[in-house]
Amino acid sequence: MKIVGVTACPTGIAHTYMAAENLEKAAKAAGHQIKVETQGSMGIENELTASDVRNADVVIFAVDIEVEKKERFEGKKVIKVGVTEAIKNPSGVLARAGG
Amino acid sequence: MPTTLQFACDLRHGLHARPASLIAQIAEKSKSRVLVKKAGAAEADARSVLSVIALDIQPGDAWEIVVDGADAKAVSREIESLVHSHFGEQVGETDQAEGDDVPGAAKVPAALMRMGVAVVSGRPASPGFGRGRMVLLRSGSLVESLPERAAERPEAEAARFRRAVEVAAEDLEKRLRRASGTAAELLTAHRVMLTDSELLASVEQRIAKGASAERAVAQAAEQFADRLRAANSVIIRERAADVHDLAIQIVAGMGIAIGEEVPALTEMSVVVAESLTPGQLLKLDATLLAGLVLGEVGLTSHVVILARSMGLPVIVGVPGVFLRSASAQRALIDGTFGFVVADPGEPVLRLYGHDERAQKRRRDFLSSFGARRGESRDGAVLEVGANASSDKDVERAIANGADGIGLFRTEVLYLGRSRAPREEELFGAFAAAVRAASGRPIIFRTFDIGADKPAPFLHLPEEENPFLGARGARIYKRHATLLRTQLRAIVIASVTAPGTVRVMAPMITTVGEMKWFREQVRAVEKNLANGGLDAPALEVGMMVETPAAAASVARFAAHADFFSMGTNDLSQYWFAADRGNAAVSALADELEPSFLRVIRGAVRDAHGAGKWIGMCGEMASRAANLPVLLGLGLDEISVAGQSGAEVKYRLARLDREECRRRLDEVIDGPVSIGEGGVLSVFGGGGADASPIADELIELKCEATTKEESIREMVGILYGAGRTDRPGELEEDVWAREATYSTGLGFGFAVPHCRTKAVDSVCVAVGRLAKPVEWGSNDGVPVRHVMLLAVPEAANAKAHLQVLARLARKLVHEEFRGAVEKSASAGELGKLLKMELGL
Repeated sequence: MKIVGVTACPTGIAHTYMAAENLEKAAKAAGHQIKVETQGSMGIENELTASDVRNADVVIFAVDIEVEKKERFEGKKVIKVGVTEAIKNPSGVLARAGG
Repeated sequence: MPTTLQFACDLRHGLHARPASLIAQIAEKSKSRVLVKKAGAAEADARSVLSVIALDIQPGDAWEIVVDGADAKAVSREIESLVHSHFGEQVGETDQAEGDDVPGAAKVPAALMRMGVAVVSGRPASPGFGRGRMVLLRSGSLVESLPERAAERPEAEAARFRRAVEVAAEDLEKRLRRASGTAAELLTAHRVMLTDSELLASVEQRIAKGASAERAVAQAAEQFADRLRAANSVIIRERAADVHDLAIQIVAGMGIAIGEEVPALTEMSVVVAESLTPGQLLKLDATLLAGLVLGEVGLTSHVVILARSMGLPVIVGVPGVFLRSASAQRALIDGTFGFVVADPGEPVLRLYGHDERAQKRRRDFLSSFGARRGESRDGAVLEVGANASSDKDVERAIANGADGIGLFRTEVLYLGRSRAPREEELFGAFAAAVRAASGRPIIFRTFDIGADKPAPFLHLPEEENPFLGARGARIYKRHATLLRTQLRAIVIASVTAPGTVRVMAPMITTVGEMKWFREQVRAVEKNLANGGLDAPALEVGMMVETPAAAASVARFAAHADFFSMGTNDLSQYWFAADRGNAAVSALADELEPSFLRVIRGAVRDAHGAGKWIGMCGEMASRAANLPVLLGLGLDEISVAGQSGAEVKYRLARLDREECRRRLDEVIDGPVSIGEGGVLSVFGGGGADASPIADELIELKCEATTKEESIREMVGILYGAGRTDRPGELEEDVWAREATYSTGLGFGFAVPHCRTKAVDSVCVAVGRLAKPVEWGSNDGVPVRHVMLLAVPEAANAKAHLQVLARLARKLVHEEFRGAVEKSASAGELGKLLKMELGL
């Protein structure tokens, strides 16, 4: 399965990156392809391109704040969870996304 | 025909003691009767400072001066120009620096709220914390505390009173010679009051009516104190304590000790009182004083200012109920937040125990910088000197890590005096300062008198515009003997102890003035050499305070061995804006590019001529300006207060070439300077330090709760100089913690925040001897804490990436395992740096 994700937490210092790392780790372990964009203290990094989004089967938002450039994901299947959920139980989040 | 002048008061603090005493000086030497009137209210004799301030003329009030007599025209003109110059009101350098640390309203730290600790709140008046036994001090009436004594004949009592005033005046002079800074200002205020015509008249009237001298003094003082206490202005109400203090000193001159009893402290104590006089504070054993808890005492009162200069925590505005009922319990006072905890339990004491350890860490850490010379990260030397007015100042500055004294103000020995100081007195003061410098260089600035610094014995002519008039070196030719006497004292003092003594002149405008000044120094030296004194020639320098001098430093170089930028005056002259006038003071912005360009030019010119150049104005004292000062290429800065070691520490983190590059961008543009001002261009103060460092890692943490461990982590950052405001940092951490727990699980926690309390990204790492409950998802108590602090205006992306990498690493078991296994701070530091690519 091809997954894209966005992580964002209130201060953008720690949880944004922990969530991204955990989703990537769990997805790889389950044999999925994943690309996670972080919206943190350094702004948007590892930005999802139009083709990334177009080719993805599912979008995961692991966020506690508004996602920036949200319009990119219009019409896609989006699973939205809190940041801590993605850190605590990344496999569960993937399962909900259909993985 | 009396002359009436009408004004609207535009002074920030109203017509308070200082402007009132300037009017009194004019009234004193005039032949006319001078009255100060508040519109629609009472009037006061202008010669009486106390009566004038008791009028309580507030900003915006209409007030009048009425002059009646032979020289009414001249006197009213003089007063008018004084009022129009806003009495030379200026913001003092220490007040401003200290004012920044004093928050307005009391707050209770989040940690104590979570712990459910009951606190008694006041207002924070002087930062820091202390603990000790509460000692209650009751202030009684002066009259009631007098011993019984029948009055003799009025003439005998009057003579007794006059003698006592003389004794008190002599005593004041003696103390004033030894005092410096805040204490000296206090004593000067007392000296003015001691000659207050209405106070003296009031005492004499009471004596004439049959009162004993001491009773007359006590009654008159209480009456004046009551009038002052009724004023609207806090700053005037606070003068009541000074009158009280003064009466005690006069009565002491009669051999009667009253009202000043202070308890003998026998252990660390928190003194609790409705009010306290500066005299009482000075009598308390400072080594056993942990803090002051006071009632309605203002933040600008002399006692609070004095306590602040002593580094003593103070809270004011504490409810009377507490002040009266406090018993000999133990107490903890927090002057940063503004509360006191009576009978603090073990948890509170443990929490503050971490602060004590953090302070020790910081002292040890900074003292290592004080001993070294001031040097930037890339090896550029910047000598860090201190400003001083007395040998005590010199001693403290050197002890706190200054490389020398960049400005020794000598005018303190002249101001407000009725006679010029004699050579022996000057020599005594200078020799003591040279000794106190213990071999380090010291620069004596010859007397800087005129404008806002009056010396009555000189009888300087009144001027329309004193700041553009005869002041500093401009009066030297007319008072050449006075200058030579001072230079003799400096030259003789220079050989009494080893070290380099330099001398510099203030307010030099023309090359001719400087040439003449240098000739005077050489003539005095030659004269002394003829008399057999073997002294090496002094280095002779000048202050750069006028735009004329700043623009042509190269031409002065033939006659000056060094230069020192006096930015306080230079900025007023450059911007044509009175720094004491609130309406225009914002114009005199020392960081404005045009001003920076002038300084940069002066530095380049001095260096081109092979001379060194420093800076001793307030601009040099502001910690935040350091990147600018370094970028300007100065050779020396002389700072207020005792922050030598701290300045050197900050300096060691800066890169001069980087600062120079950014400064040039600011000056030569085009760089848009945003909301954060010029300093923001330097990127968080230009400070640069690795976010991970061995001194930020502690594997033997003693915290037993989450509250304690956050405080301990913040203490590590404070101890290593990464934050100056640990209280604010801790509050910001708790504010973030309130959204959701930063416990990661697996025994790790990453409390973090964006905060104004740090200027670069940093991480404190701690291992707790005893794991604490953190509210983590997996319920596992936390053993490893990593506190991440990010400056609010962070733009050092490389450092933020380090935090992002650290966060990503932490989700991997192998990484956590390696952290857990590290046996020392050094080992863990190495691991973190390697894993995070540092």
